[in-house]
Amino acid sequence: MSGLFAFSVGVHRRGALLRAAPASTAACLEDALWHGVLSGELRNGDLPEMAVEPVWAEGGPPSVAGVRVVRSGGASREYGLHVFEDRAHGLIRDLLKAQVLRADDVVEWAVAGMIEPALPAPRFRARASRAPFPLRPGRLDDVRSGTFAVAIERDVLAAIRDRVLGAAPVECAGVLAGTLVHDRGRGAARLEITGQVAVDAGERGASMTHFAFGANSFAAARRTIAEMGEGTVAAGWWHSHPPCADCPRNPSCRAETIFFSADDAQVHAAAFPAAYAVALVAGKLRGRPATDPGIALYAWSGAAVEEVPLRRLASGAGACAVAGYVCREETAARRTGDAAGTAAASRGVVRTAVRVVRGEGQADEAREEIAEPGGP
Amino acid sequence: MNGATAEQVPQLVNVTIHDWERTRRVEMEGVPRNVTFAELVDEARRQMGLSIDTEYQAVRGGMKLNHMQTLEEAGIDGDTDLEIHPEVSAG
Repeated sequence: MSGLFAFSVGVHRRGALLRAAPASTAACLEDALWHGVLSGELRNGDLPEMAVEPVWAEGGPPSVAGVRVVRSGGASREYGLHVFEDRAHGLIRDLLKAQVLRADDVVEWAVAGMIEPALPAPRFRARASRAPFPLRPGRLDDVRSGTFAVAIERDVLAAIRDRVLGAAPVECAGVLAGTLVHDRGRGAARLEITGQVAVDAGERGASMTHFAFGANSFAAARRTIAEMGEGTVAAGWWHSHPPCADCPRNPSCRAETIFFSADDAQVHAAAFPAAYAVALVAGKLRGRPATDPGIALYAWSGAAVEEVPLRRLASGAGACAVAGYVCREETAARRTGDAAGTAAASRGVVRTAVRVVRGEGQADEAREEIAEPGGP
Repeated sequence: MNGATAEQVPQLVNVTIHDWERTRRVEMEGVPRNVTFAELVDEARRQMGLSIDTEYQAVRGGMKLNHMQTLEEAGIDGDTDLEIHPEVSAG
């Protein structure tokens, strides 16, 4: 098979297809470009021709085991099925909301590749361009060669915590601002987050379980960031997962609300597709009271979003994380994407535990929590 | 129509579409004024390589535009700049 490929994720129960939907490979293309620039293989601003090809599963087409981005000149990068995991979880969540899936159902998801149907002739000419990555040259002796680090100023974390406590029990959100330093000689980069812009929700509002961005949310953030100084760009976003309204009065509560949901992954992919963009989620940690929210960092890593541990710095920036994008991709490439899920309902909240089985037989768990209509 | 007469209004216009960050841009030339914003958004998203899993909205001057409306119906009678913003909610 040759030509341009399109991919779709299908969710099955007992072999029957329940739902299929197109799946984007935009993050793979972005990652391939970012990796090429960071490593020095590509000049920042160059836009080589790139194509996404299927890596067929053992059974052959149309099932795929991953995708391969091929750059003009022959260089290529491969991505496992984990890059489609958030899309699959989103479909499973939609099926739960629609009550197509029930407690104790077992579902499987798979990805198919097919030749993209020819598009109708366009009615007008269109030409795309994009700005180079906003890299500022610098020395990064404290960042391991070939890695991407994130440093967050303490004041930014404090401002987010204050905002989260003030808005509870309703979700709140904002856009992160910062600069991006590139040490080309070492193939390393560091995103330095120096500010944040809290934004108002859009027309669909905010609640304990959602925050809807609107046209003005993004436009207002862009205008504010533009006034922060040359080289300061949108570096990602943050939002909160508040605990229940009674939680602050119950210091012994063991609930934890920090996670990256399928909705969050969709926000990140659609609004913050740049490979360097990160997300912070603020919420209650199991071992801390609701009045002392914790913050977790999520970053692109090999075209998928993964949590990256934060560590407190002794001085200067408040926290720092290193996303070893090379190492993480090696780990991800071992996954087969062979997945099974179970759903169980309790107290108005539907939980589905999706077990992702890796190639070496290990299993990890990704949990989706979906509030049923009228639920908490 | 900004006071323009029918004879003065071009039937083809140029439209530049940016993403919300203004880092990606699509320049569209010779766009018929009977094209809907839905068509423009689809083409812009495809050209920009944005996610296909999400709905995007055309925005002009901070105001959302009706997907089904044409450029002509929106009173756009000359070259114009638009933005596309994702319709997303964090969970």
